[in-house]
Formats: sequence, structure tokens, C-alpha cells
Amino acid sequence: MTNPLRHLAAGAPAPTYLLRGALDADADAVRLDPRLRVVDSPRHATVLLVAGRLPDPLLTPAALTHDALPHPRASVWWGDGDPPARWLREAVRVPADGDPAAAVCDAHAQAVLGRRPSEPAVGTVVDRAAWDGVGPYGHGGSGMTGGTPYGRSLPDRDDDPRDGLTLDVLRVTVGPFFSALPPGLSIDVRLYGDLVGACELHEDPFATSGLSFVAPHAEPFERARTERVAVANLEQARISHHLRALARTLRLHGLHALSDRALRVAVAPTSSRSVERLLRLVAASGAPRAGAGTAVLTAEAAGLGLGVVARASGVADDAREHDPAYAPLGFEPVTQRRGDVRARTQQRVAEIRQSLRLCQAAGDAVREPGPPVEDPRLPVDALREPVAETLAGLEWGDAVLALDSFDFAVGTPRAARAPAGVP
Amino acid sequence: MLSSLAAALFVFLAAALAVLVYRWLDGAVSPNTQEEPQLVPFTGGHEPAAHAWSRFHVRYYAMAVLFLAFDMEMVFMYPWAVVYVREGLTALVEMLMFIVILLVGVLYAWRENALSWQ
Repeated sequence: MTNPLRHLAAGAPAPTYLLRGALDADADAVRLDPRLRVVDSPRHATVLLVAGRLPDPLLTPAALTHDALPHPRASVWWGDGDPPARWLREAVRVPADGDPAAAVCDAHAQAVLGRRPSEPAVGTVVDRAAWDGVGPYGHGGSGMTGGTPYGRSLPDRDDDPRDGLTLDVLRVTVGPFFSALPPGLSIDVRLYGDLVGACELHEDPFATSGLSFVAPHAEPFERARTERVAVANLEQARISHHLRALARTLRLHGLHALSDRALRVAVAPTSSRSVERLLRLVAASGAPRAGAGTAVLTAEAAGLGLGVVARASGVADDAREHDPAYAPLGFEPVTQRRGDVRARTQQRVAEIRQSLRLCQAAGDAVREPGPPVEDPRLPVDALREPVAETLAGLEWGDAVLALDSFDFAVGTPRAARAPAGVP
Repeated sequence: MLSSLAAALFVFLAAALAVLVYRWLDGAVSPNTQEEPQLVPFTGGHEPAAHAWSRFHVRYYAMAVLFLAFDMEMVFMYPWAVVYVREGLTALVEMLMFIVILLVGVLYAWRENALSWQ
């Protein structure tokens, strides 16, 4: 009875959990491949796709993520050179310029049909001690329920910040492979029910391990520091960057089809009309209006050199204003006023429209190297403490949306952003 | 009387049997092979430090109790509708008095911030 079902499952789009590392290929494009179904939890996946090299601090979380996949499971290592961990040496390998979807589909089919043994756990699987209290029938003890339930202590107690009631507080580290956060970003949170009491952002693990990388769509910004680059190319790269951020936001709102559409426009070169049509759909969805008054970053806290985030707080700081290549185009910075989640999303939409206009006006104009480049990528280290402060006091869902609105580019080289006018 | 009891018993037994059959089918098609790493909450690649059972303030409690109170009031209105057909204006006035008293209760709850989420 199970064989026909297994064949059906093997032929379905492969449920895949994506671990993003330092990769020279466009890992976002994998989401659009109809042969795969990129899922938001390892519990729903058969295949773990490790895209690119992982720095040392992420190897243990990657192993734990691997073990969270249910059986039967398989791993695919997508990248050049040796895999970063021993357990990945047995994985199916795909070079950076290869076709990961084909390898994932094959690994999925082999695992489901039982032609390839399901991968064992990387870590030690322990059977947690049964929950026994101090009484003769496993009952009683100190605390709420007594004993140590299944080898883990009960949460600490603390006064709730809202009304001072002494209740349990959960200390949780979320990330680096939590699908709602930027890949690679970890945060420590103290949760009072669904309320974030305090929050701390970890350092960028790629930067601390010297494994910073440049995603293919951001490559024009790197080249512009040392080479002549067409203005239209730079603005197209900016549109692609903002659309990818918009796609992640839409996914968080549960608008998966619209998110895929935004990603499709971002990944493939398209006409300005298709971008405009997409922006109209996004506006109609109501997503850009979400988050009014949430996670406000004041102009003083934002300061200079933070690009979109600063401009959403009303700071008219844009390196293009002082760039001779943009002077004939009549460039003026676009800004918002409120500095909240809504302002940051609307700032991105406004900058996409601005870049469309600049693309059309620029024609064949070329930018000379020298002046600072307006790079939309925001390294984590640029804003860790102010962001952590804005998250405190938010409900968890709002905190995730707020974190997304900053669009941290984990793994970006630290030199990516500098205040306008600072070479 | 006995036949209706037998019918109820039959429906109960059939439902219980259906549940057991579905459970058996579920186990036969997809045997549960979960290990510990698949059973703990996944937060992105870190072991949970504490057990997930925790006490927190159910802040929608007051709102839920108010909802239940008004839900019961609506249930009370169904039999009242039958009485209204027979009694006419008297029943209408009595119901209006009942609703006004309830409305005072809502205003009091509102004043006490029972309807605010935070």
C-alpha cells in the first residue's frame, strides 16, 4: 500500500529547507524553481540544501537544523571546494554554477523511495529522562509542576514589564536559521508570553569569521568602488535589492504568491511596466501600510550612513546627491518622516520608483569611481543596539516584522556603507 | 425512545470506530520515526535552554469572559422571540430593560479598561 504513495511523494516538488551561506550564486532564485518547495520549517522538509560556505559559528546550528528534519532525509551541499563540515561530506554535491534543484529532486526521490538510506543525526540523540517529580508516583516537587520535565529546567520567573505580575520568562536564542529572520542573524530574546522584554542582536558571524561575501545581485555596488559602471546598471541592482526585501516582507505577511511574483521580477531582468504593475499589487495588498508606529527609529538614532533606514526616519542622507554622475539626472533624496516599520517599507517602494525614473533618464551614462557609492545593503553591526532597543516591548509578531523592515544584509563586507561624503 | 437511544449509540460507536481506523491508517502510511531533535521547538539552530511550559498572563481573559456573557444573552433571545409573538409589547419592554442593564455592564467594563488589549 505504501509503494504507490511513496512514488507519488517522490514525484512531488521536493520540500526543501534552505541554509544560506557565502555563495557566489543567486540562492534566492531557488525559491522560484517549480521542482522545489522551499519550506519555512525543517519539520516540513526532506532535503536540507546548504548553499555556500558556513562560518564556524554557524556549523553547530546547521547540524542541529539537519537533525530537526524528519526521516527520511538527505542533504545537498551547493558550493565549490570542500564542504565546511564533516557531516556534509556524505551529502550530494553541486558546484556553485550547477543546478541545485535537480540534485535536490534526485536526493528527495532517492530518500523517499528508500534507495538512499536516511541520514543519521549529526549530534548525539539522547532520550530525555522521563519527567519524574519527587513523589512515589512521579508527582510533586518544587516549582509549578515539580521535577525537571524531560531534562530541561522550567523557565525563570520575572516581573512582567506591563503590570509587574511575577510570571515565567523564556530566554530564547532565535536564529541563525529561523526562516522569518534574515539568514545568519541570531537574536537573544526574553519572552514574557508573546511580549519581547529585552533583545540582543548577535554579531554578523560571516564578518567575524572573515567570510564576508557579495551576492551576485549586489555585485555592481562593489565594482562601482573601483571601476566605471553604468548608472542604469547600478539602479537596476538597487531595484533588485529592494524587491528582494519586499518579497521577504510579503512572505512574512503570508502573501506567498505576491512574494514569489516580487522575487521573480527581482531575479529576472524585466520592464519598468512589470515593476510598476507589481508595486500597484503590493499597494493593494495593504502590506506596505502595516506597522504604523512600530519600532520607531528617530532621526537622531538613525544618524548618517544608514541609507534607506535613515531616509525613512527623515535623514536626507544619500551618497548619490554628491555624485557627479547623478547631477544631470536631477537627483534628490526621497525621505519619509515617521521612522517606523511602515515608513521603512514605503521608503523602499519609493526608492524603487525613483530608481526606475533614474534608469530611464540615465541612458548610457557611466559613473566614474571615486565618490562614495550609495549601497542599499545594511551590515548588522551598523545598527545592533538601536534596533534591539526598538524591539523591546513589542509583541513577537511585530518584533519579527520590525527586524525584517531593517533588511539587514548578513555577510555583507563592513565597508559596504559609509556616510555620504565620507570616501 | 429506545430506538432513538440506539441510534445515538450507533452514531457514537461508528464515530469512535472511524477515529480508530484513521489512526491505524495514519500509522500504516506514515510510521512515526521522530527522534528528540524533531520533537523540541525549532528556533533556528539552538537547543532550547528551558522547558517550553511557562505561565504567562492570558490578557484576553476579561474580553473572553465578556464575550461569553453576551453570547449567553443572544442564546436567551431565541426563546424570548417565541414569547414576544404571544406577549407583544410587554415582552419587548422587558427585553429592552434587560439589554439596558447589560449595556451598563459593558460601559462599566469599558471604564475599567477591560476592553484594552495591553
